[in-house]
Amino acid sequence: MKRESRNAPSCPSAEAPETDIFRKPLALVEADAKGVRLTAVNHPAQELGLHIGMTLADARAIHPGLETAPATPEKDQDRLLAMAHWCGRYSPWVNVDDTHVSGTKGLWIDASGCAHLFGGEDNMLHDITARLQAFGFTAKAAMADTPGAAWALARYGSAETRRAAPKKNKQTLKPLYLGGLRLDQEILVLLRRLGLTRIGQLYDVPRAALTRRFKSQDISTAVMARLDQALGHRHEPISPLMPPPNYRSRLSFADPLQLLGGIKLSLEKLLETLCVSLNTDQKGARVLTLWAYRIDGKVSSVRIATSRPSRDPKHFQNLFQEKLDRIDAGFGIETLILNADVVEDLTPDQVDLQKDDVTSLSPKALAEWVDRIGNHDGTEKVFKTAPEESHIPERACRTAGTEEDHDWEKQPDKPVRPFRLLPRPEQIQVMAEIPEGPPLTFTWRKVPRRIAHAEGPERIAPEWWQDTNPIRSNIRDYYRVEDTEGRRYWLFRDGLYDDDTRQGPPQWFMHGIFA
Amino acid sequence: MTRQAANSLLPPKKTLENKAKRPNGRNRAAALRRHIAHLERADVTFESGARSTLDPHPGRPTLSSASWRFGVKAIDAHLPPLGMSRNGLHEFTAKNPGHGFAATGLALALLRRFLESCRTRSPLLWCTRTQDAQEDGMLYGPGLKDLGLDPDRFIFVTAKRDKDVLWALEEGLRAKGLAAVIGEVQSPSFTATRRLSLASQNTQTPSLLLCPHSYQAASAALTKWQVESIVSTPPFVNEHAPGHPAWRLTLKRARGGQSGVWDLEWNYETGDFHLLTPLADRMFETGEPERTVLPFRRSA
Repeated sequence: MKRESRNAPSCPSAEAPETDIFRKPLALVEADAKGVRLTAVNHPAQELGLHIGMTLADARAIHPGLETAPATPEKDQDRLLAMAHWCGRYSPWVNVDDTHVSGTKGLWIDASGCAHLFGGEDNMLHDITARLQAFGFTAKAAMADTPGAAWALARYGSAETRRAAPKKNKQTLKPLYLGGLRLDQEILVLLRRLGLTRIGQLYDVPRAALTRRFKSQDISTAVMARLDQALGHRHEPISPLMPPPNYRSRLSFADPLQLLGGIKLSLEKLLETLCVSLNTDQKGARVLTLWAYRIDGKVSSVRIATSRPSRDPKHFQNLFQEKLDRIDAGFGIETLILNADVVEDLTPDQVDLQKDDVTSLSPKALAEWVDRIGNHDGTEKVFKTAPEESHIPERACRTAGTEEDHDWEKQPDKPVRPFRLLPRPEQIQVMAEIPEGPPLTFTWRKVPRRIAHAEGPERIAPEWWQDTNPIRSNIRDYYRVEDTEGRRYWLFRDGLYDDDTRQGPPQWFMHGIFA
Repeated sequence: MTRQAANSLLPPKKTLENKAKRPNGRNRAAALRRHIAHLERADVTFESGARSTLDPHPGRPTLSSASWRFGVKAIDAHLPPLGMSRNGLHEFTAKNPGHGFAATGLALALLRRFLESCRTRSPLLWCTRTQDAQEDGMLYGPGLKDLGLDPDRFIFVTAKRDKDVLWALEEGLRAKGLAAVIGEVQSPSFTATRRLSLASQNTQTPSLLLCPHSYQAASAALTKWQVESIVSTPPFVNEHAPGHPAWRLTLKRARGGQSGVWDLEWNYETGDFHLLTPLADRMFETGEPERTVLPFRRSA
């Protein structure tokens, strides 16, 4: 059975209701094509009869002393997202509600199998609202078998009916206002004209009759779809903010953690639990995230990644070690959750008894060492180089993972190559004796150099099966040259001299450096 | 610490004997020189715990060989008696701004000689600043293969700053299973080089640092090399073509050895070094005779 819980903070921008300004009527306003409109109103303003969508002129007519502030939808959304992350303490499956039919915003929490951790469904709902209230939000939470029913209950249910008992959706929703079905304002007006105001009234209306009364088929389908979703006749999946991990361990604290030592010890425990369950399933984790839920509702996280799956708690601890001080404990951490975000199969390693090279690193030790370096803040990349089958110098090798092994001996023999290849060829200014030959002098990186020795050309033509450009323009003639100071370079001329498709003489490039 | 350790290892008898004989001034000076030489050599071998590092079979490469050599008598005579020690830091700087690649070349050549002197198949760590890698590129696999090095053994790391490169090198040394670590840095502090050389001693893994010509600071390196490219001798088959890589090598500092200057050619097909014979038309800027042996002075 799936139990959906939903809470609806009604005023996401109003963070501190205790201050004076929030006791007076206040509205957030936004200018649109038709003028300035209210996008959110607080409770005192609501009591004056102001509502969302009203123009500011009308609102001022009702209450000239109305305080206004510009609306910040992006900030609201960010805050809501942060709140959704915070709700991760209740369940891994949370998301922001993106239904746009009401002025209020909301969050989805899939609480299936989570409620018992908080002492039952009622206690969980109470916990959510109490905590949000402590942060300064006005929130309503409801729980039901389907997201639709929870949505309706959160907005139109009374305090006693915030939780629909399992399989009692129909009865619970019966007396609620139709607006709870997440319908547009125009449809609600239409339904009211038909004399329909409560959800229960739709139960008995024959569907065919309802369709006939509406102007279009679409409206009746929309209404029926929403009703079916609320009653659970139609499946309504909620996609989670982040894919919920299969392996996860959590630890809550009676007294909030504030010291690094405490976090370290707790992490040790979390890792142990996680690695035991990984071991049972013969799995290893590639990416781990540690989420720290602070008592002031902020969430911070640190993430580590490994180059090959592992389930060694000590190794993970080492990787986390350096990053733990990035967790801002603030007023204290009340819950730590460790997620294994990427998990792969990992069978136990066989010990190689016949290994003769005792000084060499084992693949496991090497991987652990690479992880340690790779997870360091200042490290950009850890990689190996691997051969590729190509004559084009820059394509003849690629960066590869450190766990890969490549046999360079099998590569076909080519004329000698530079030990350093510039990331991209750099244009040089040259002076050549004869057009088809090596240059006499050239200027690279603003330094003029005279050539003492040169060898070439080695002609490298583009791969005709890959390039769509005319072949002749991309032929490169490579020269191995040495300047009068003994520095040895790899130059090439891009294109041939007798190429009519190009303007002017061909250009020269510096591509590599020899020992 | 070094001196104390070495002192405690010196047999106390010797000093007594010296006193008993009451040698004249000249003998005394010679004895002191021997004493100092002993200390300096002890520096290399005793701390690492490998006492009998003098190779019993000089020709045969062994896994436990604590050092490696150039294979050129003139140069090896200037190195400490055991050659280039693997328990420490070796530094390569360019002589002029434009000769940074020569330092890399020499380091690669020495690395190859080192790998051939020990039988291990363990990987190497090559660490560079990202900025440098973007400017000059990383080492090129096919080119490494041409120099006789297996590109598959190289693990490359790019890091943001000098200190990140040095951190990675130190971590590499701690891993206790790498053949060698090589870092390209701008200006390591004395502390950083000391840390590296200590880590090298502990794990008996050589570390090589490549620095630009501007780097002049004091360092804890066992040997400091200054490299400059020189025009190569063209091969017989083509007198216009560049020949084997040639460098002018200055051994600026060698603990337990003597400094010197040589013109050297490296045959990357065989991996051997050759001294370039002085040619009649070769000019030396300072007018000094070739291969001047500078008296070695221990700093501080």
